[in-house]
Amino acid sequence: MRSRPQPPGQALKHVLPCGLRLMTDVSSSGTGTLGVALFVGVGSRNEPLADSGLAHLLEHLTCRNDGVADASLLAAGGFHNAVTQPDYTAYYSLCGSEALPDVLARERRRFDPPQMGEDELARERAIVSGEIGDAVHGQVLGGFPWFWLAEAAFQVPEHAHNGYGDLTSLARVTPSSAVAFHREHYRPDNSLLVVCGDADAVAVERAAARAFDDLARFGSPTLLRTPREEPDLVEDRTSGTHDGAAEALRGTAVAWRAPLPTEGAVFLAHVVLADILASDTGGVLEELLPNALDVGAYLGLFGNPLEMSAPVPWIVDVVHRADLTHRQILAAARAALDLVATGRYDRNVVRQVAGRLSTQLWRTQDDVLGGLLANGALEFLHGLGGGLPSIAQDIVAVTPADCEQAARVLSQQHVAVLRRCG
Amino acid sequence: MMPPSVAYNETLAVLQAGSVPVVETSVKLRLPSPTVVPAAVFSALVRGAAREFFGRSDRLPTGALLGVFDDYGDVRVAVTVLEGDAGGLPDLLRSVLLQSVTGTWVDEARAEAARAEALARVDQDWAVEEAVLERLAVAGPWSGASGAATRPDGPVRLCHGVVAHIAVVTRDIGLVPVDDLHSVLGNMPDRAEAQNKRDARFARPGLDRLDVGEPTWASVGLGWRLPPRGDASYPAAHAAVHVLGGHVKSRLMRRLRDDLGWSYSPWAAVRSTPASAWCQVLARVPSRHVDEAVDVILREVLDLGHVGPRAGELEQALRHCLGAQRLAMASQAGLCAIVNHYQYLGQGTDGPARWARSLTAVTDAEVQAAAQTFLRPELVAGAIASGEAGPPVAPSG
Repeated sequence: MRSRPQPPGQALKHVLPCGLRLMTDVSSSGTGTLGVALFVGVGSRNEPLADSGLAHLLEHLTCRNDGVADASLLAAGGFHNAVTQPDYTAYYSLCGSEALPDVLARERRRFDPPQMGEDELARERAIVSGEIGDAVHGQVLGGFPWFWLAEAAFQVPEHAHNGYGDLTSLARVTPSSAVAFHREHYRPDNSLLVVCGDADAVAVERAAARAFDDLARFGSPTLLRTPREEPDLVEDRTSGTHDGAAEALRGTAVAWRAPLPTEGAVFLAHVVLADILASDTGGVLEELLPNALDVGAYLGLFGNPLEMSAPVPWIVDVVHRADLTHRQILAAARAALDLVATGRYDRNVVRQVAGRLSTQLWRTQDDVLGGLLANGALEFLHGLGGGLPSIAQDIVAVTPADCEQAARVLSQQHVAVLRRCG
Repeated sequence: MMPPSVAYNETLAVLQAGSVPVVETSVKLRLPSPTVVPAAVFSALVRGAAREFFGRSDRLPTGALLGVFDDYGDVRVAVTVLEGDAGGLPDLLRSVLLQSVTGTWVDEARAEAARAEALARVDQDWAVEEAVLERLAVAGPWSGASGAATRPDGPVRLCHGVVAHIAVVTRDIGLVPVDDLHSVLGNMPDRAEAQNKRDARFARPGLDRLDVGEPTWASVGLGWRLPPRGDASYPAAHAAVHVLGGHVKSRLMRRLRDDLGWSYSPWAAVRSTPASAWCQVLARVPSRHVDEAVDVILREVLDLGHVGPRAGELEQALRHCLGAQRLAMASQAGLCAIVNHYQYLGQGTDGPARWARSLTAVTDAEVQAAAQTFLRPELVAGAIASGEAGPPVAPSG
């Protein structure tokens, strides 16, 4: 047994000479575990509309030939992966502390143009196709609702198109067009390096400075491109279909518009409100839909409101059978919001829900990978890096009145409804 | 209705304080059958019962967070609370679990709804895993989607004493010492290329085809029975499976993803209960490549038995296996789950360190012998799931 480890340190932020931002959130926890992530400011919202999925394909292409770092990671039991979001691509590793130099060297190589021939490009397209097959096709309601929701909820093309990958458009990508897209976006002044876990901050800063020392000096970091403003819906709209077999599972999702984390207490009230409607331990909406198989309410396409900039959807999704219609589900969701907005619910539940969310946020902070990605996204998108513990503390201060106000705001919005059939 | 009979073996393992103000607790419920659909039905019922309890209790600690996870032969219930409000946690857990096992919530209608939902969610991967387990005969009397899932009283009986078994409670409020694991990571033997290469020939077995999912993609599931965890050859068998498909540079990933581009994430893993163990392989491939993919997998398995691990291959697999365990224990929630699992297996709180020592001692020759003994192509149980237009897989050789 050892003494209680030091709590996570304050996140420290620097800019390397090449323009790459560096954030360290490390402490001597004794676990020997590090998380390393490189956030690059390119996501599905940046890609040409005719090349849907290009940012995701490039994520794959820049992960090829990671041999030395892979071996180092494997030897330490770690792994690496990458994710393409609407506003960024993140490459992340969980590793033993001893693997840090090799992992940093690999992240440095992300800025080199990917080397590939037509054959390699075709093979990586096939792997992307397999990934989409795994996640979406061949699974019951696979990809519901995130795969279709952006298209259903938004009108501005850069927000609405399918960024996971469209095989038709990907077939048009050539090695030279992929390299050109890489050159445009994979720049140190458009990126953030994050290191979390068991380490000494000064040693990490020195290692990072060495690893990225040979990059051209781009100067000050550029701010993320501001996404185009998404206009409010002027009427409710419905897309998708439930025209499947009678016994098939159906999915219905309803999307409102959520505030951003930078809006503080208002944002937190919307987070708590979602769990008041539906959570692992029940909710107001679940009581109104006793025949539903599964009811969810959350912020963000993937249930994480920290990982995208505006517009962020506030979502209710329901898995059900043919005995429920999308109109009934929409009516129930609006009725649930009305119950909260008018105070006709158990107001004591706010304290319990806020406490549970605080617990979950603390667990995320304690998990190296969870803290890495959450704090990295907070910093990259909102300049709030290292703020997860603050959110965990602040959320328990959300009051019933805050949630009721959030419900009133949502009640006044028009909504987008998505229908899917299993 | 049968009376409840809860086997309750509580072990409180209080570890050191952690770096975030939460307290973790895990409980395992053991099923007699490791098959997929009954486990999903059972966990749905436990989840529902626990939710019922959480929803109406007026004495929940602040921030009480509930999780229910099903993993083949067992279901884990985890409760997390904010530090300072954890005194009543063991009582809370007992109440939740007794509600799960004896509560009136679990009636025929609820069970039927859970069964129907589990069946409606059966996809290609589930279908082949279920089929493989059934063919391996590691399943109990409730095996198969056509067994427990179609038996009207099956899920209810699962929840009423016949099988529900509270195996262990682990309470943990901090980080486990990882020094023992560190000490075994740096002392690995060098390994030489095996010389006795032989032609890897085999007869491909006929595999059942399940009409599930869409036609262009297929899930290939293969399985082999392994010695139980207490057997002397278990570590070598575990290592062989990890070489085959346990990490991103394993044989299956190199061949099916990197070389051929057919599969995004093929894997092989060991599943174990206190009494049995088996190897499970799963790969999603384009339907037109099903025959070849099965051949690729079986050829790699056969090669492992004939030639053994290549130079550095076993060392890489073992380092990854042990390192992954270390990383998984770096958070309080992960640590609690792992210590809980080892206790469930009868290994005690020092189980992770003892497992690291036994795994590190495995040699190339032992892996080769384990592959020859347990992973022979003729012993495979397998199934292919794809939509109607998927091709049958015929025997060859």
